[in-house]
Amino acid sequence: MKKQTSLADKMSVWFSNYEPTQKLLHVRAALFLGFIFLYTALAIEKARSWFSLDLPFDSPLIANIFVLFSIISFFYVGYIYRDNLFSSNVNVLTTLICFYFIFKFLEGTISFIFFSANWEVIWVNRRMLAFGPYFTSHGEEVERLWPTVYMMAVLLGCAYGSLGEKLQKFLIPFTFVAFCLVIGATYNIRPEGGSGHYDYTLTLQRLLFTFFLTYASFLLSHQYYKDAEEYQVNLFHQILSAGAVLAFILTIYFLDPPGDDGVNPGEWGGLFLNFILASAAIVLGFGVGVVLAFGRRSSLPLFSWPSTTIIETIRSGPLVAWLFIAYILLPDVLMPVWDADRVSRTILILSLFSGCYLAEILRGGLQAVPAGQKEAALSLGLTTTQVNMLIILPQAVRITMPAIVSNMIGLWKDTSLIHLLGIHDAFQVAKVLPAQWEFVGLYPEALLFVGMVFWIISFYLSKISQRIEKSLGLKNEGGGEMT
Amino acid sequence: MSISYYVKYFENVKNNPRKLLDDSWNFLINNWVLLVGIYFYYILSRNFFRQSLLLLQEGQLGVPFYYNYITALTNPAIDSLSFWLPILFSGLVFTGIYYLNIGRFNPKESDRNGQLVFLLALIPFIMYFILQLLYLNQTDKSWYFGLEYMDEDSGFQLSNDWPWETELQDSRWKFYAVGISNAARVVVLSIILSTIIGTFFGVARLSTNLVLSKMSEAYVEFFRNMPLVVQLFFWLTMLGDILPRHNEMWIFWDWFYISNRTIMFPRIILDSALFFLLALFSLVGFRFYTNYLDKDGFDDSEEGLRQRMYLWFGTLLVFSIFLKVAFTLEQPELVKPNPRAYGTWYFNGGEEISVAFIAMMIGLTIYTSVQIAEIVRGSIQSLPRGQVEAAISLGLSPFQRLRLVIIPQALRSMIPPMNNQYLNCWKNSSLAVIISFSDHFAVTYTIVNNAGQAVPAFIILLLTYQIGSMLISAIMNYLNSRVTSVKI
Repeated sequence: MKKQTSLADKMSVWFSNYEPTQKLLHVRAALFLGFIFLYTALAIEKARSWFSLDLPFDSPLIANIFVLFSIISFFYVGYIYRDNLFSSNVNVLTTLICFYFIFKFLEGTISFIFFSANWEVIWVNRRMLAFGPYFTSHGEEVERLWPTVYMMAVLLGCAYGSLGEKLQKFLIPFTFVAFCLVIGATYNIRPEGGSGHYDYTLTLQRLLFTFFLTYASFLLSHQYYKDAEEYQVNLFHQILSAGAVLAFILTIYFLDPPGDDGVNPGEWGGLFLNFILASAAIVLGFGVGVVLAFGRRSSLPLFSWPSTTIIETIRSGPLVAWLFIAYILLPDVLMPVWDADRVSRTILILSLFSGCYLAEILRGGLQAVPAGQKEAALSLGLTTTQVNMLIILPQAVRITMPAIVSNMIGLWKDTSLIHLLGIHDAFQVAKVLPAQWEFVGLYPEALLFVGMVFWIISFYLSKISQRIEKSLGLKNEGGGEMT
Repeated sequence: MSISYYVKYFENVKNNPRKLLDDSWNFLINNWVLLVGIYFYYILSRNFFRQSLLLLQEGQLGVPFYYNYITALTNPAIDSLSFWLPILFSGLVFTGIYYLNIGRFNPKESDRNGQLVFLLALIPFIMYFILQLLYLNQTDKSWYFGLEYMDEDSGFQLSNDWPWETELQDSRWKFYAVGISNAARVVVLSIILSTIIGTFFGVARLSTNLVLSKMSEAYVEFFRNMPLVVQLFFWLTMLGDILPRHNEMWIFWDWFYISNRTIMFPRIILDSALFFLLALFSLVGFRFYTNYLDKDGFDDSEEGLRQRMYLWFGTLLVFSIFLKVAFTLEQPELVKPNPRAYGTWYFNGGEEISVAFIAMMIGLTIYTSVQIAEIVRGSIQSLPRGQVEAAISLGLSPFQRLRLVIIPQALRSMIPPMNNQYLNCWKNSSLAVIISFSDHFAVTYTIVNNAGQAVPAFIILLLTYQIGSMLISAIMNYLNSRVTSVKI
């Protein structure tokens, strides 16, 4: 008989080749159970340390039993994947070390998030984090943002409805988010500026109206575009893009209408300012990038030299330096013609900066478009502008889509730098929150919260980028099968 | 495009007045984008013309050059000029773009005329910017270009100036140089570390072991999508939390002192350069001697191996003795003039690194390492599958496969994007200003605040960044040429 050396062989003999039929379900259940057991163990430990009473569980044994359960759950996962994880001695060692790190990480994370962290700092300052200090002290001005919420709701519903996917793929996550938002709006432990409970009926009505709008637009567009032709869907998407730009302009209009009343852009803040900055800079930056990319590729020196100079100059320095220039030097130059506030100047600099990086990305894409395309279009009688805008640019954008989205993600992350200009964006608020006397030193909570908000949106964008890559057929699957 | 065309057209219109209306309507419909654009151009240029003309008034830029020809640019003149000039320019630009668009010119003419129209359209803006910059240069201190302020006393102190020492009276140049050295220290160290860590995680993500690959994926995804600013500030606050306070500092054998204010370690002092050279010579001599021994091939018999081992140990012994003689270690000495007043404690001797430096190192290294991990993964995945299969069939071990087959080929597609990431790392080091680590950006910012000459300071800053980027690019291009010189 063959000598059995590897651990996998021994284990397969011990467990007589047990193999669950629903592997993935078992893995998920085991991971979930492991998490819950670990949570219970830590909870018992915390309870023992908090209360010096004679509790029925007052023994370290109980907590340790739950830790053991959790370890067993993790090892069940390891057992299911035993062919992969325990195939050789090196693999056994690697797996055990990895499990140790994961276990330690989970233990630390759970005990921080659920037991030692004081999330009240986030909850009490939720309006500050979302809208900045001005909207916190002038609570009635937040009403200016409700039209934006309605417009975003309709756009979101229409956009997801016209993708032609299954209903539950949007409805379940959105219902979950809606549920959380309703709880967030109605459950308040302490509103700002008072000890009483604030009247949430109006907020709740508006929130429910928002959800109604989303569900209605989603279901209607889903019903209509379920079996539609591709060109109809594309037309609808173009209308939606125009609607998004219109919604952006209307948002700015509602916030700061011409005249005396309204909120000056210098007073905006919080996460919503990061959104506004990022979206404005992405749209404007795309325009700048297209102009500079074509300018740099042009054979005419009057176009190519300035474009090259601008691109190389701006790319040579870090964004922080340009932001400081926007803060210190730009007002001197622009003051007579345009008395720009800090936010407008930041948008200008951010769009220039991202436009220069985008121009380099697009230049690569423009070079990759086959020359035959241009010749064919010219021979059809299109003018040069038409050729560039209708034939070459769409193909270049298609090729460079992943890089463009990663540039967008970078821009979204870079909006956290504007706190250097004294603008109260989300990161700046998170930085100063731990200076409140009730929450002294709660840096990890505030920073992790804001960081995770940035993280979630970047991650979501990168997943969308992967999806676009796949749908455009740009991704070479299979670990480089092509030679 | 001749007069007769218009004459004929007007005759037509006379017969059929409706045609004029139709044609105008069609013209509006066909050119509405251009018309809207020209309207905005008109508004902009009106503003810019007006401000330029105001700057051309007497007294704004000293005695104007046209003083001999025009006595004064009066307010009514400015009003009428700033009313008519934008109309004239908008009309010219509109006509130019319209005729370029309908394509009446051959390509050469089109190129020339296009550039002319572009230049014409830019005239108000260029004029304004030149005049405004001249005005600012004469009136505003921050736009005065002169480097005298860099020789003056700096008037501030650096929180971390290791390994140099700065005083209040040193010139700003010296402070700037110390700032550059700080930034270079962080960037070089974190490039080296992040390359090692990033390669590890990039390879680990392709591992067949599910837990390892998932764990490295989680590491990469977590740190890649989190803004660097948040990470840096998080590490700084965490270090301040974890490390002990000054009065409870961790002391290791009286050689290392660690607290959240400073970290002290022994200073290495070169006593005799002769013995240091001798130590180096012993290593070089060992290398030559073994080369001489191995000229007929490496002797891997038991006797030969034992001799080689003795040789190794002997050389190491000699080397360490020479080093011991060449250098002395200076112990940091904690001085407590008043044991109860923690603020008065200080150190004599020893080297100091600041907590901000460590936070900077951790943040920058992790952030760069995840980008490098992605690059490594991408370039390994882009390799032909046959290479790995051939290596397996040759009987190479997994580590040998990686070292001898995969990495040398992946390096070819890895180095250009890595160059990009190193440049990003160099530029990202400017975020040190957030955690008050004094790199040259932070020094520049303080100098601008103190001296007020922003323009020359920012030009020096951008030049520094450009030179640093070019250095990194040059090194990476050299590496790239080394790697790609072997044809496969």
